[in-house]
Amino acid sequence: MKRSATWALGWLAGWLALAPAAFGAIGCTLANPARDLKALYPDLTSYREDVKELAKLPDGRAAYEALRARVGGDLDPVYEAYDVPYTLYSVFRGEEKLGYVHGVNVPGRGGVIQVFLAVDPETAAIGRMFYQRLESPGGAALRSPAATVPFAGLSLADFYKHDYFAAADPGNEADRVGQLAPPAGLPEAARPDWDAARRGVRKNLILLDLFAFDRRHEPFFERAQAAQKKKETTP
Amino acid sequence: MNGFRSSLILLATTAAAGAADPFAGVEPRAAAPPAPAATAGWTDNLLFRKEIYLLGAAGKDDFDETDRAFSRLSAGFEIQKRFSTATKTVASVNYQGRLVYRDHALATAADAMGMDAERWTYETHNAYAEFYNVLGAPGRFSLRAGRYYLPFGLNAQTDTHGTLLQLSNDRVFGADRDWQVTAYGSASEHLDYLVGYVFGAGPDQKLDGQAGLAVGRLGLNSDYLYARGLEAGVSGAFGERVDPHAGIEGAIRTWRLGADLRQRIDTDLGPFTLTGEAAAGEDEEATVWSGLAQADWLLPSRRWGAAAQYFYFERESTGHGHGGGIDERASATLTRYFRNDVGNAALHWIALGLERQIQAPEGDGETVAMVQYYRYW
Repeated sequence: MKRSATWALGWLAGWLALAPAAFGAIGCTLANPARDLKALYPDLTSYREDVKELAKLPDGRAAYEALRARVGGDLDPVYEAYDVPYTLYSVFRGEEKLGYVHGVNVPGRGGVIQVFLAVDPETAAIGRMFYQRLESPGGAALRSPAATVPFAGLSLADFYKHDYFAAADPGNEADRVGQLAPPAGLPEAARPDWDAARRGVRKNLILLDLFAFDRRHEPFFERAQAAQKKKETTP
Repeated sequence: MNGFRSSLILLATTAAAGAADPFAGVEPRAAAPPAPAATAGWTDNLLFRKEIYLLGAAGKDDFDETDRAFSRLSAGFEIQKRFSTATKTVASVNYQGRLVYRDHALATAADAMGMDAERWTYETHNAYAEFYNVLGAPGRFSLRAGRYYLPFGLNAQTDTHGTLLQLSNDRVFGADRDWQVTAYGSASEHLDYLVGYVFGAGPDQKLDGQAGLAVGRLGLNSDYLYARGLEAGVSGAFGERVDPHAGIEGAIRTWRLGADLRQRIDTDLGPFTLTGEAAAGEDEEATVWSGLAQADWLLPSRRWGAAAQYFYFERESTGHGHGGGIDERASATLTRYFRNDVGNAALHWIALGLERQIQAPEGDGETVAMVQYYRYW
């Protein structure tokens, strides 16, 4: 018996010593992609799922740090770890790409908030924002069209611009993200979930920029950083 | 370099525009031409995870008698690969297996497969292929073939690989997984269906002349889960199966009807989830009843969780002196999570559990204390 147990422990130790896995597993996925994507794109004829992992990118750690910098704050070690995989849905009508759909998890006050975006494949602008899992006492208000529709038309550039406007020129009419307001009827206790959802949209767009759009919005991030620095150093 | 160039552009632009719009003249980068599909490697959409599961358990009466505790060590892996054309994901395969070592196995619901397992066993948990959107509009008809959770009750939509508290099917059918061919999709605007032919091979995955079972579930679709936190369905099974724990030799004529309900309640303290499963039926002439009630709580940070479960199963005697009995248990667990990914992509925890065997085939009144270490990464 002792010999068997020793053998078992040895086997386990060997297993533990193996190099970290090169691949990931299940990500933030749609529960019923066919139905959900058909609802978003009634003309859909097919869709493709691709698993995206920062760890599989040539410089994944740098990409994770870039995500942290662009989200504008720490990433939650449970909800937003380096090895979290993502699923990118590409939606087609025949050979024509109608859009991308992508979801992320963010921590809310009451638990997980899964923020999904349907974006235009040409402009990278949001067509529709919606939640899947939403563990919040303000779930009904957050899901209301009054809360989700204002995100339509925004792109990652608008969020980067907001960084500058919020710090240097609050109330500027060009700050489209600054005009987003929590929905009427949202309980005060769920206010952090509204902030978390807005952060989730931003994080989602950053990842989409990385996974699907070849980081096309980087010039806006760089300009926002430079403009903020200039504003700070200008007397 | 990019930053320097941006700064130059910024200075020139702000000078010209009187600093009115610091983003004037900024344009998105030109997109790189898309990579040809042919460059996709075989590792694309290939998913791999490793798993370690350590369980120590001691029954109060058993320990007094034997001075021994139950230990279980296992290591395994899961691999999944999706297959796509340029515009469509058409299929996927999934395999999950574990090499398991058990010593002095106890009959606890936390390790139903251990009841009469060998000291060393290799367990195949999942081994299946899926073919997506085979017929009709997308979402209407997909196929899964292989070994997977039974399409009965909440099991097919619940990952119970690492949890101490299992759902009902282990007792109701003798195993919660089986070899099968199952179709699934949308039945209507509000309902999803799962229906299939199941081998009825039991925990030993044995063919012994059984005809197999037709099994299916009709349930609310995921819109209800996400908008209202609600899952509910009705299930049925009819046919023949084998089950070494039923006390009936060979093929067992079986039917079951079941209903299930799971409701998540969102609060400032984190989500509470209430689960209920009920089933009734017959094994040959023996009536079978089963009920499960469970409450789960998870801290919003997902770092602590607790759960309590009550389970009841009764099979009348067949009249041949075999197979009758009641299995009634109450269990509770407290879990400290180190990793607890929402999509179960990475899990790491230590759990403490207590199971009270109120009435059990192995003897009434035993209390089993458990400690579990689980890591999936």
